[in-house]
Amino acid sequence: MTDAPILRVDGLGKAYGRRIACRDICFDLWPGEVLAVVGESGSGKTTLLNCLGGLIAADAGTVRYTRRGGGEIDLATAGEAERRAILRAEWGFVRQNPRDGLRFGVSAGANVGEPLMAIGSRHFGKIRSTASEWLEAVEIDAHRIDDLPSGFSGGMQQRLQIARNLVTHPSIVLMDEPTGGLDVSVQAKLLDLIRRLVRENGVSAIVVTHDLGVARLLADRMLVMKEGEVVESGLTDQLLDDPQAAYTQLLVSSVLTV
Amino acid sequence: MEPMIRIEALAKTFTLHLRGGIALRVLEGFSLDVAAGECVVLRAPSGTGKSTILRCVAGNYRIEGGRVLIRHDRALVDIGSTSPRELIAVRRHTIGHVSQFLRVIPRVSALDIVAEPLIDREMHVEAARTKAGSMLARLGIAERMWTLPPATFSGGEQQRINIARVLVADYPVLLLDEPTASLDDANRRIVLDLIVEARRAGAAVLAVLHDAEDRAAIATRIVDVAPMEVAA
Amino acid sequence: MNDAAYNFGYLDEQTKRMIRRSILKAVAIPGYQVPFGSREMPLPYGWGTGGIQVTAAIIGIGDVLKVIDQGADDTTNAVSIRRFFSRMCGMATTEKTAEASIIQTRHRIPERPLSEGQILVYQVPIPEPLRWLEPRESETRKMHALREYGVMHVKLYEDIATKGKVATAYDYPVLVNGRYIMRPSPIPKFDTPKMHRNAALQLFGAGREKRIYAVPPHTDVVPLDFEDHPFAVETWDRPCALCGAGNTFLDEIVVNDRGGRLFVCSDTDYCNERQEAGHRGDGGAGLEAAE
Repeated sequence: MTDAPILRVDGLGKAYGRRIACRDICFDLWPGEVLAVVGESGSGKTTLLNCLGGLIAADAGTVRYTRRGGGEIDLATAGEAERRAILRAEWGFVRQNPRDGLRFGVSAGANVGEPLMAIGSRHFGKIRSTASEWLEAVEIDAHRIDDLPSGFSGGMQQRLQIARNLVTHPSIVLMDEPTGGLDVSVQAKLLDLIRRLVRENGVSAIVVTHDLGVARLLADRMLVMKEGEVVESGLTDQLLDDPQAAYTQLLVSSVLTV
Repeated sequence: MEPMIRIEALAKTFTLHLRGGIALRVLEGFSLDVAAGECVVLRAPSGTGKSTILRCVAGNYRIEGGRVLIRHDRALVDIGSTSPRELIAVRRHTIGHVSQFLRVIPRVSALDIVAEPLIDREMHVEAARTKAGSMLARLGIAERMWTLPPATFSGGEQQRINIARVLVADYPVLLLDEPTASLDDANRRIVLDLIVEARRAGAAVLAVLHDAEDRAAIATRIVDVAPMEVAA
Repeated sequence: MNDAAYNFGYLDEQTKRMIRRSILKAVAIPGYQVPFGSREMPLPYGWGTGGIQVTAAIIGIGDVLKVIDQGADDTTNAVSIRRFFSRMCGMATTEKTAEASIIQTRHRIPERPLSEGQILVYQVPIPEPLRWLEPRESETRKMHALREYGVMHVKLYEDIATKGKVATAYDYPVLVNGRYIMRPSPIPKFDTPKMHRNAALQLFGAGREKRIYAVPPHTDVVPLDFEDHPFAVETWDRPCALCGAGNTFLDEIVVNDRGGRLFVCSDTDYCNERQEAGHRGDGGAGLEAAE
C-alpha cells in the first residue's frame, strides 16, 4: 500500500464515428489493487480496456502511468515507440480469446519465454527454467513445456496466457473477460489462480467482466459502465450489496446468486 | 474515554429504482458511541435495521445521513466520506465484520480463508497458518477439514469459519451480526467466550443478537433501536 | 559485343537511377529494407531478378563481373547471368574472385576475403526476417521501426527446445550495425561471419518482394544467439578431397552409382586456385577404401 496511484485515468473518451464507445472515464488505480469494470456487452468496457492496453487510440483524456523507475508518463500522448516499450516491459494483457493472446505456432515454453526475450533475456537455460516454473505456477504440467497450445484445453490456454503475462512481473495486468467461455468448474480454478497470483505478485489489475461473481471474487473496487459512461463506482461490496444507480440495481438483481 | 466507534444521527434510505423508485427509510437519527473494552448489543424487533447499522459502520452500505467515525491509526476516520482506498485500509487493520453469511471462495481451503486477514497484514504465511489453525481448533473444526474449501461445509461449520476469520486477527473494532446463529450450544458457548475475551483484550464490540441469554452473556450495554415507520 | 538493340545494362536510365537512389538509401541505413520499383526481367522470379537489377544499376564499362551460384561459376544460372551482362554491357567477366569488381551471388560468399572496392550482390528470395511469424507488412515495418525483435529469439528457442540446437543452417538472422535484423539471403551459416566487417560493399536485391538492402564496408553483422548456445558454424571431419583445404564450406558429391561420395570445396574458384598453387587433397582415398 503506497499512497500514490500507479495509474490515473482522466477524461478518457473514444468514439467510432458518431457512436460514442466511452466518454469521460476517470479513475485511479493503486499498486496491488484489482479494479473490475462491469457492464453489459456494448457498454464500452472492452473499448476502455483496449484504449488502456494500446490496442486502439483514445480520442480524449489522459492515462498517466507511474513508471517502475519513477516518473509519470501520459500513455495517451506518448510516442508509439515509448508506449509500446512500456506496455511490453511493465504491463500485461490477458485477452478474452487465447488466440489473440498466445502464439499458436510455437510451444508453451516459447509463449512464456517470449516476453522475457522481448525485454532482453538472452540465456536459453534461464528462460527455459523460468518458463517451466511459471507453467507449474499456473498448474500446467512442466512436461508439456514443448507442446503447442493448440493441444491444450480452453482453461489451460487461458492459464498459459496468464503465465505469459505475469512472467515479466508487470506492474499492471489488463484482463478482458478472463473466464469467458469456460466451464464453471474451470472458471473457479482460474479465478482462484488469478486471485492468488495477483496477491502474491503484488500486481495491479483491471478486469473487464460481465460476471458480477468474478468481480466479487477478484476486485477491490468496481466501475459500472453503461452506454459508454461510468454510472457508479466504489468498493466492490458496496456496489453489490448497496447499489445506488438504477442500472447497478438492475445488474445486481439480474444475477442468480452473487 | 475516547470512543472507537462514533455514530452520529445515522440515517439510511434504500431507493428501489426497479420498483418505481420507492424509498424505504430504515434508519433515522441513530447515535451511539462504543469505547474500547465495551460490548454494545443492539436490541430491536427484526426488520428494524440493526444489520443496516453494522453494515453502515463497516462501510458496506453507503451512509446517507449523519456520520460514522472509526478510530483508525489514532485518528477518527469518517467512513462515509473517506476514499475507497482508505476504507480498505481501515477494514484491513481496524474493523472485523462477521456478517451473517460466509462468502466462500472456490478452491481456497478453510485454513487459508482464516489466515488471509493475517497475511493481508504482512504476517508470514506459516505463522498466519499456525495462528489460524489454533483458532479453528478452538472453534472445534476438525483438523482434517482445514485443507478443504468450506463450500461443502454445514451451515454451522461455515459460520464458525466466518467467526474464526474475524476473531483471529485481533481487530480493535468488532462488528458481529448474529454470530451465534445456527450454532449448537457447545459451539455457541465457545463463540461467546471468544467475544468476551476479545472485549477484555480491548476491542470495541458492536453486536446484533436476537437471543436474550446470549446478549446477557457478552453485553456491557444494551441499546434499543426504535422501529421506523416505512415512508413512501 | 554490346547488343545495340538494348540500353547499356538492359534497364533504361530512369530505372537505373531509381534503383541507385534506393541503393544509396540502403547504404545509408544498413540493414534497412528499402522498397523499389522492381521491373520485369527476362527471367523468372526466383532466378535472381533482384540481384540482376542491382547489378544492372551499378555496373559500368570498366567493371569485371563474376557470378556464382551455390559457390560455382559454371552452373547454368551463373553462366546465363554472366552471358546476359556480357551481351547487355559488353564488359569483361571473370571466374576469379580476386579479379572481379562486382560479384553477383546466390547461396555463397567466396572463400577468398574480399577487398575494398569490391561489391557483392546477393540474390534474395524473401527479405523479411519477421515474416515467418507476422504476415502483415504494416506490422513488421512497425516492429523494425521500434526494434521489437524479441520474437526473433523465439524461433531460436524453439529450435533448441525441440532439436537441441539451432537448426537454422541457411539464411541465419543477423543484427546489422546494432540496429536492424536482416536476412542475409540463403547463404549457409558458415558464411555468416564473413559478412561481419567485410571490406566489400554488400548489396541485397529481392525482385519479387521489391526490396533492396545493404551492408556497407566494415559494418558489424552479428548473428542472433543465446549466451549459453552461442552461434557456431558448420564443421567437417575431413578436408576438401581436391585441394586439401580444411577451412572451407564443402559440398557432398556423389561420384559413382555405388553411392561413393566426395567432399569438395563449394567455391570452385578457390579450390582451383589452391590446386594450381600445388595443394592436393586425398582425391577421395577414403572413397577407394570404402569400396
